[in-house]
Amino acid sequence: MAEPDPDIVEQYLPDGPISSLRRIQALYGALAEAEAGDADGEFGLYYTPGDLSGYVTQGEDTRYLATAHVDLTGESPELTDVSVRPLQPSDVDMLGYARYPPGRGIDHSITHRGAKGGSDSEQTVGYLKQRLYRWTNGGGAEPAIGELADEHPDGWVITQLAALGGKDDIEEQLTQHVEQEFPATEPRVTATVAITIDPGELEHAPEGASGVGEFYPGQLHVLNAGMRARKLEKLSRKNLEDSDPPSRGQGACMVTGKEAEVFGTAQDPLAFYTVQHAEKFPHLSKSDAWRSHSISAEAALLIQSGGAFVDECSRTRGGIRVYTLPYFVDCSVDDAIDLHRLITGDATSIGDYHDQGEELFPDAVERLRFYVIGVRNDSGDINVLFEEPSVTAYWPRRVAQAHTTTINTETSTTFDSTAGFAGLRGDSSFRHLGQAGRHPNTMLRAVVDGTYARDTLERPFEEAPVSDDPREWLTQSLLTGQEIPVERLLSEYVARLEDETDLANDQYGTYVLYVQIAQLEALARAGLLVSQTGQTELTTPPRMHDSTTDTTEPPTAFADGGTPTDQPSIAFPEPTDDGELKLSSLREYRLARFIDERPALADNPERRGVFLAGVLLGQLAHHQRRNRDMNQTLRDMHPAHRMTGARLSRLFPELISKSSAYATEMKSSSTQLFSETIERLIDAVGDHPPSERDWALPVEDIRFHFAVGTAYGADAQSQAYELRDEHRPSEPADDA
Amino acid sequence: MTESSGATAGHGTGDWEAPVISDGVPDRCLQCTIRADWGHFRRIDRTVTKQTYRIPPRTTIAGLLAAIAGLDRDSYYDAFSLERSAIGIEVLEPVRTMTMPSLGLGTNPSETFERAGGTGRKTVQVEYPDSTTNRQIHSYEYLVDPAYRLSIATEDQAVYETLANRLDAGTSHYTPSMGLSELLATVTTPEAVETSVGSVAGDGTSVSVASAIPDATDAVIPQPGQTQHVERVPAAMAADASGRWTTDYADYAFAGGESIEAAPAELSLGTVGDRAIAFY
Repeated sequence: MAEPDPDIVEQYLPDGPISSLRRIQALYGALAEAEAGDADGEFGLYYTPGDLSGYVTQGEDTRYLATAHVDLTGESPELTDVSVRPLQPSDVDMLGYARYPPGRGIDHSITHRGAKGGSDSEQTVGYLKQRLYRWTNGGGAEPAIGELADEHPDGWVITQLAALGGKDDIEEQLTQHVEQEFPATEPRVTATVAITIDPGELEHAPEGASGVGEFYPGQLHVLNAGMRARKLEKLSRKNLEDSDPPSRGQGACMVTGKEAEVFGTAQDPLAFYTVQHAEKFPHLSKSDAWRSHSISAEAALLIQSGGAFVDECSRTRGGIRVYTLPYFVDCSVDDAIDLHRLITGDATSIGDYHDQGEELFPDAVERLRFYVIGVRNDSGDINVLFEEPSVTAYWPRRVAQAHTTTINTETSTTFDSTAGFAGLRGDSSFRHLGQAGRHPNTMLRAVVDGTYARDTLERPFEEAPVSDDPREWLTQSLLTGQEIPVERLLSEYVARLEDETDLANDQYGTYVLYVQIAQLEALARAGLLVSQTGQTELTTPPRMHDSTTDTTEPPTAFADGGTPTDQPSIAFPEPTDDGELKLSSLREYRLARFIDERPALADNPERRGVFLAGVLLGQLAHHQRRNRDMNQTLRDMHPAHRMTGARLSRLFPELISKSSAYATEMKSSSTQLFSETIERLIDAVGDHPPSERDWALPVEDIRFHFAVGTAYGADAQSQAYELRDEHRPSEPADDA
Repeated sequence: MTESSGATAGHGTGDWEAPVISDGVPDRCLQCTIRADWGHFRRIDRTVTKQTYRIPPRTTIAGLLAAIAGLDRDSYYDAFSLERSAIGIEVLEPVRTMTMPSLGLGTNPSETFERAGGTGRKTVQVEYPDSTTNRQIHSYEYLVDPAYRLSIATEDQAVYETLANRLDAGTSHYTPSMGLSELLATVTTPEAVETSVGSVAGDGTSVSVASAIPDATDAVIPQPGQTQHVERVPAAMAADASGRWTTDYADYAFAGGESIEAAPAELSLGTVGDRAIAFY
């Protein structure tokens, strides 16, 4: 990849801040032109020499340049010869080539690219005749060039070519010349004209010409001007009927802001803008497009040139094309060249861009911003699903870091035997929870590419092309640091849990729930949660005990204003006389600690009650499955996504009675199985027995925390075993 | 809704003198707040898809004010030109957008329109979308709960007076909307709809500006943790017999619901009430 020419960057870099997608596209175009290094001069932006790269001779593969040699020094124009010789890379500059992409028709420049599949001599004669006759408006098919020929002081050159092309025997003459020289194969052919002329007769003399000589199109101002006129005509006539007036006028360019001739029908490489959407805009007048979408020719050309770089900054995920376009708001020439190095590298996501930016330009990387667009293109029906003009790496990194802190057992108890869930212990292949969840860079990728949101939220519109997809809402919020209403998040969580639950097959969506728990906690740690109903305990991150420290939040950021050292420490249980740790004591320790660390539970008795009812149900269901060999457990009969306050009230006595029945059955020393849970449950809701309770918690809050409790209860026994193994009395219980 | 402001006393109905604008700052201005549940200001670089600006373009605000005052289409561009008017835009709420699909009838005259009645030459012909065809899904990006406070000055006496009377009386000639006709907006004014504009005190290096910062984003002093938006929007239009066109674009920097620290040197700043407003 060539380094961009700083002078060309300087020439085309938009003045002022990079404040719109159009200006980013133009900036990328300036970089593309500067990389090609040929955008100098009056027509530099119009040339597309790169489009001839497949037409120059390379190695053994010979491609040909067919040139009609025309003498304009005599009384009348004369075809002196046609040469057919290999097209060398060094020839390209003098050809003044400008491509017109559509397959039919002719190129903007008089120099023309033949068929990709190769051409025979007959076709080549056709190309040459078109150079002389059609391009020059001999038959009236190119009015823009005809007009230019009338206005340009050297316009007679075009008129003379047209006259030559209009001669009856021109095809015969061309054929005679071509057949002498044409190779046996059918090579790729580029066709052009070379004109012998006296520079003294031209207003715009060819550069460096001293006397009569032969000149190629790139060297003759009038032929270049014809090329430009044709290009501008196309800019103003795209998708217009021949009878429509062109869409051009005087106005302010939306990219440069300068007063200029502006066009309304410029091509948009992203295809978000066309002038043919009459079905969406009643009485759309395509010819008036320049009035509202006003763009100068230079800006339009830069936007087209930048198309390839824009594409390079995209990738597909989950059926959505995501463009992540890095830029600087205040972009100097040096910044632009830094950007060029970044966008020509491998990265296509914010995390990778940021990492590479740190290597390439450590001083400027913090100023880097990203324009992020998610596009769904269903067979040409384009929908922009989300668009964020000004994303920085700050928020995604902060969220990724907070998630890592939550998953890591060194820094959090959430997935730890000390207090938390089993997680997916031993299985590191699950996204966001295993080893991957412990690496900030992996998580950064998950946040910015949307999997972090897609793995926890409802997917309501799988079939529909567009929607207010909650997963995109969350991804956008994570990218931009927009506050996330915790009530909505819980509601989306519960909806997804319902999707994941398949009671007939004992599927409770446990993996999704674990990720939701981790995510909720991470978002609280990152400071992104907000409660619309004033429940600040829901948005407060866990408090930490002992040696565990939170690396993302300062330790004083607790809702109650306390610091870690102020927190009452839950005493680790003492071993019994025979040196064993009792499982029930460990279960109690874990539960007490889990609740105490989490303000959402500790500071709201009602939610704590919901959670504990879930824990008890989970423990009983586990017992039913393990010890009573039951298929249909309490967990199957009372799925969390159907829980309500009223159901909870009815469930409560059932749980208590099951617990005492099983205690009798097990010949337990206690009258209740899992008394550590029941005691806390009664304590939490004791002032209002659940059966008579009027629940104030919103239903999604009840369902989510009941689900959390159920999963916690299901893990309780195995986690207690795990904790006992870690604290064999032979080892000092340093956690006590 | 009543807002406190430094009111200019002594105006009765119909007695409004247009302000004088010097260096882009008026000596007095009208104030109003527009709010709606939803808003949509279609970006000019979109037709295939429908995204919205986060801040109403200055040209849109001119159109909204013209609707309140009851001015004809294409008649008000001069009154709200950059030379003769000054407008400050405060973004009152954090910017939130939502993309929603909506079903609509096609409007392509050559494909989905029906015609009925006479020939259209001597007799009446009506044209209407064919309601029996399939609806098309178009997705729109909407602003959620948008709210903007406007500080408005124009040197056009007639327009200023009409607008002041309308705002003062709490009436509107045409229905105000937040971009699309179906997104109705409410317009509220402080008790005194007109207020004097004072000079801005400060240490000369940094001012906390309540409004969006127009056309001088390099004056913005970034604040850690503050999400700042920069948006390039159409700012002024002109019209002749053939139609209207855009004559100016401006970059607006704003942080939804928050003030922005800025270097005052490059801005046309004035104090409205107790807030520093950057006029454009």
